[in-house]
Amino acid sequence: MTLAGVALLYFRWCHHTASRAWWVGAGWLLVLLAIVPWWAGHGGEFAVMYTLLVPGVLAWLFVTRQALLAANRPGSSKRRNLRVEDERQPAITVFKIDQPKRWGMLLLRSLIILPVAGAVSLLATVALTDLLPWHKNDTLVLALLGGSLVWGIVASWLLAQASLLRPVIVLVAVGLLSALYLFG
Amino acid sequence: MKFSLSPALVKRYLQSHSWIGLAMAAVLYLVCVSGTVAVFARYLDRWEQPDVQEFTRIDTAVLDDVYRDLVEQAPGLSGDVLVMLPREGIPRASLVSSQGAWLLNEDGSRGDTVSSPWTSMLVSLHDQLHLSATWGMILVSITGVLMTALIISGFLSHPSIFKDAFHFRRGASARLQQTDLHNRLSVWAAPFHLIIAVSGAYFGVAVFINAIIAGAFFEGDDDALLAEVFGGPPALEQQVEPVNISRALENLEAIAPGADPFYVTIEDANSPAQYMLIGAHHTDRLIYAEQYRFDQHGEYIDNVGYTDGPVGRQAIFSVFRIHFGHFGGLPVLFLYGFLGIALCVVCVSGVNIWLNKRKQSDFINDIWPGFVWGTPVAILGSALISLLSGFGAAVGFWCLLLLCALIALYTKQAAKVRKWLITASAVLALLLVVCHTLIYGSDALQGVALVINAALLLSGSLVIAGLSVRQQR
Repeated sequence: MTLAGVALLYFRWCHHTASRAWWVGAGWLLVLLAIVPWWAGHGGEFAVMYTLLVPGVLAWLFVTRQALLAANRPGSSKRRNLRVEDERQPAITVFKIDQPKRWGMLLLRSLIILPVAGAVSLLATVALTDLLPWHKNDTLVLALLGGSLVWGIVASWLLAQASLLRPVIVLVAVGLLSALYLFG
Repeated sequence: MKFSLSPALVKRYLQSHSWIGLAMAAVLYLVCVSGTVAVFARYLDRWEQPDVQEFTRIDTAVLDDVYRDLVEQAPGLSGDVLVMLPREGIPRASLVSSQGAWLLNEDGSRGDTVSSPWTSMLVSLHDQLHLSATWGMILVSITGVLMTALIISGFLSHPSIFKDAFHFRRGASARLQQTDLHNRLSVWAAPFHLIIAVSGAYFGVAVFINAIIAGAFFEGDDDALLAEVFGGPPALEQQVEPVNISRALENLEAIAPGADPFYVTIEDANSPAQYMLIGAHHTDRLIYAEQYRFDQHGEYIDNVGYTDGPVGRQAIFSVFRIHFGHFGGLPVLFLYGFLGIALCVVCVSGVNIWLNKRKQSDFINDIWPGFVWGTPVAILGSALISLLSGFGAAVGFWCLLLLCALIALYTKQAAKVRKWLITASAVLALLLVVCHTLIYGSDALQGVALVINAALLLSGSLVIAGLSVRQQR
């Protein structure tokens, strides 16, 4: 079922026509519905894991097929033989190794962002989960497991900001409110 | 699928993705490689110590003698005592206490001391990068947090990543091939990456979050927090007697016929509060174990509630097996092995893309292939050192890795260094098989040891054959 779902996604990807647009929905539906036979055979917990993990492996059958097709396509060797300089794109200027000042700034930024993002994320996660009308044990475990996820999301968001002023103000406010709720 | 992010924001997410990736590439690579190998740790343990009695069942009556002997030899025994029973994938029993760790023979007598220094070195590299337990675990967990950040920023910075989900330009330039490899592996294995990142981050981040929770809800009492999350110990006050393990195991069979016990812990051994904790697998459950508690006479007290307690308690005790793929038997182990290798490739190809994009070449171009291809050399070389000397696995690993990086830096020929190091890995794999067979004789040619030796022999031979065919062309 998972294989059929991924195959539908692949063949729709090969043939971009409007009449086959429904293949995408059908493909994903099959991938999701594969949880039913997994569940029947191995129980709910294993079924969720298999439904999440197996498509990623099966998809490689089709990616490999695509790679073989691309390699056999006329002109592929010509493309391979192009001088490296001809294909090079401008580097992302921010990461030039010969700009230690820029690296230093980024490093400094990360060193500030990581602990601040971590402290606020963990405080906010504990405070927010405590508001949930669940068993105490469930809210604590959600905070324990979700804290690192929230920290990762906040860190990536902060690192993508052009200016840190407003995001840091927002974070500090959230952190203070959370601390006030938890310890006030 | 298209995200409606502005091009400027997409560019900034790409920069953030690149920055995080470059800043942590080396650490992430080491954690991923060691984690991929550590998934098979239970089999590597057996390969490392193949001359041990293996059996699938042990007479429960002999376990009482095992404990009694231990107490007689060490009357001042304290702390916890762990008896591991033979189980799926590990058909051997062991006894671990403050006095030492021994493998047990089928009749309950003590065999060799438990010794798998190379596998322990790999697990310690994955868990704590050979640093102190707390700080190492925190550092590795922050790697998990940043991996989560990489996954988020990776998706947000590649708006057409789903549209290109099957795209692979084999035959195109090295940079485009690396890009396709990186993006395809990332998108299809994203659920695995996220599961590994979040479950891996939990172990160390818990140190911080426990402090917040304990301070906010338990007046700073960590033990009270742990009791709430994992269940507290029973309050017992008895006259100390040797524990009756066989009686507890018999009672367990009546109480929970579906439970498959695989360890017995005597908590607070030799003290009035001592009790037995039997850990048991339950079919189709992700929890590491349900823990059934018995007093020193083997009378049932209760279960901790990992099978039928609060959902949170069940979830938290499932993290270990989810992170290491210890469910579903060998197929899932190989699935984790495949996806783990894929994660290593994502890590390496990410840096390769950046290196290929740059207009100039510097020491990073030289040292990176030495580090990447030197890691398997260091892993296999440290196995050989440990096999021959019985110690020095960690020192051997770091010295070999440093040596490979220095050779790459000194020679400044990335392609040649890559070939040398791949050849060195293959030769080391073959040498390992030869030395292992010479040391352990027929024990190296049966069971798990045979399978691992055959795999090493096959992969080493294939790599050497592949390289020589390529050279002839």
